[in-house]
Amino acid sequence: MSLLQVEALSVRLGGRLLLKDIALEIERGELFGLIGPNGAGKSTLVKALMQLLPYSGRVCLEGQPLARMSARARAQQLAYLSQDDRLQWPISVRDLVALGRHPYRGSWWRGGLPGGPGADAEADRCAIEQALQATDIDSLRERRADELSGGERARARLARVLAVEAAVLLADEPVAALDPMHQLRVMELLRARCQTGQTVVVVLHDLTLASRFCDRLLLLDQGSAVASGAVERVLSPEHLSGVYGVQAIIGEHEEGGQVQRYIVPWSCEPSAACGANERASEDQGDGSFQRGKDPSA
Amino acid sequence: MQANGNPIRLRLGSPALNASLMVLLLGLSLLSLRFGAAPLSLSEVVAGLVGSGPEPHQLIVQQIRLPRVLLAWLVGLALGMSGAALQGLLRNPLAEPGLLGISSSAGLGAVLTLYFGLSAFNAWTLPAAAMLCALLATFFLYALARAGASNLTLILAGVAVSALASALTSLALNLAPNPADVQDIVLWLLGSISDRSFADVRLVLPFVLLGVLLLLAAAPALEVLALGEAEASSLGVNLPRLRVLIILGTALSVGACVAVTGAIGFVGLVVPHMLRRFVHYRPGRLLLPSALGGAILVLAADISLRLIATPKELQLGVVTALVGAPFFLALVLRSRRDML
Repeated sequence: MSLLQVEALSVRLGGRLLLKDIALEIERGELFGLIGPNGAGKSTLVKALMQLLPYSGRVCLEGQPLARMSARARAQQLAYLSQDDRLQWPISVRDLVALGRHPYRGSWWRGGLPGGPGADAEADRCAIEQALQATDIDSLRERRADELSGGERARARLARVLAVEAAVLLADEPVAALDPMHQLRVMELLRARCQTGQTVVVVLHDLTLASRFCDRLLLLDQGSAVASGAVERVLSPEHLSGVYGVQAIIGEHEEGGQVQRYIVPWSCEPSAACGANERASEDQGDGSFQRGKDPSA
Repeated sequence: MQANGNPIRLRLGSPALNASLMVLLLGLSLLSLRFGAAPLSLSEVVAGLVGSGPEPHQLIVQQIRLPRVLLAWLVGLALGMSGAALQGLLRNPLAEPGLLGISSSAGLGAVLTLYFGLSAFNAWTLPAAAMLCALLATFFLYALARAGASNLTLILAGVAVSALASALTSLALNLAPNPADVQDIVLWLLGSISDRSFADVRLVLPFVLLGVLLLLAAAPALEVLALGEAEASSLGVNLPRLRVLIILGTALSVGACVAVTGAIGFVGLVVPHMLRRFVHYRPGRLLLPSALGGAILVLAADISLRLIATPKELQLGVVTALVGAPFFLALVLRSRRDML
């Protein structure tokens, strides 16, 4: 049985259908990529999986519907990294990472001051230390989180998510604002998590990263699943032009006996996204105001 | 290697910080018991407290000055802690019960019961109306914040709520038939803890205790809310429960205090801001120190107004506003880039 099963998932918000009838099965230890153009519904899907949005359909973890699990049990199983990296208070990196242990906190009404009975202090400490080391920010632990560079902050937030020690980690564009070196580091880190048995669902815009690091992909467009499965099948030239409206250079690079594909979006398809722009410039050219003003015409 | 022990343990402030604030509070309380129309020495105060001194001293200390000190504690606890909690919930360092119009709404509720003579029916009518109005104002502001209002909008909405409550209060005063009543109400609105009795303390105590417990229960979730609502909820934080705890806790404790002491502003703004760095900016850990700090500030202000020689005794609310308003201005100037 798959670890995460999604059946007939639809999301309707404010009268708009944001996701239509998504079906998905994600295996244990898999690095699963969600791709698609802006507004395709990638973040909505992640939020629905996290039960942060109302949806119709079923989302099950090991056969158990997530909607029926307690918030605490769910928080121990699924960890979520949002796109929003604003932190209201300048807490220290270690305090930030420690927030990931919130789902394991003893309830205050059960004797229940935080960190009191019911909480396993040693397990918490181990999880936090491991998360700090895995993301290589051990030396930053006493720094204020608002004083970190973009790359450091991304790793600190990732450490916060790793500290949850959840079965499934859902990351919404974790590399969006990072330089190439930090993008690769974050993706390598996620890959390494999968090798330790964790399952990662990641939203990506960079198609080369998606192709290189993900085991399988789901391509979304306007709320519907266009293709899902093996990377080569999903990232075909037809899909790239049909969904993204771009012509891409797809190349191959051999490394250690393995052939890796890289995808470089090169030009806009005349018929798709850029068509509007071209028409706009034509209209300008035809405008009488423009023509009258142009001395060379 | 771990300087702070178990990092996820949410101590309610560091023990050293809380202990020093407690010592300061107790010291100021003894000082406050000394000053007044008849200054007493420290030994006379202690003798009066334990009931071994001469009877007039016992009377002055126990019946006149002790209720005043206890009210300062309760008002400070309520304002300090609700300020810190509101700042955590709204993720806005400028949130405060007075600035957001919660105090003046409670004042309006109280004035309305006085105006319509409803307070004559039952001793609980006035505090109940104050708390109800405070609840409505808090809920309105929260709904605005929930709808994605920016920091600036929220503060402006608070100013509007405050202005509306003041306007309605003025209307009640304007239409009041008896000028003597008007003066009483105006003086009361300025905010004061002088000439209060144990009856007032008994009235406020249960609500402040209940409010403080509700707010403290919100502490762990407030910590996680620093990550934003989506990630906090992914970590198992029950957001609706958190909101109810803080709105109810603020309305109960601040509403009850305003009903007895009138509006005392800026305590909830100044105190969390001064203490935040000592708790490493953790919003949950800030609650208890802010409550203690609030009590210290109210008590210190109350002592200072008795020491400053003025033709007429200053009202407490006037002193806190005189100190707090420039502080607020400085804070706004410093954070104006974030707000706009």
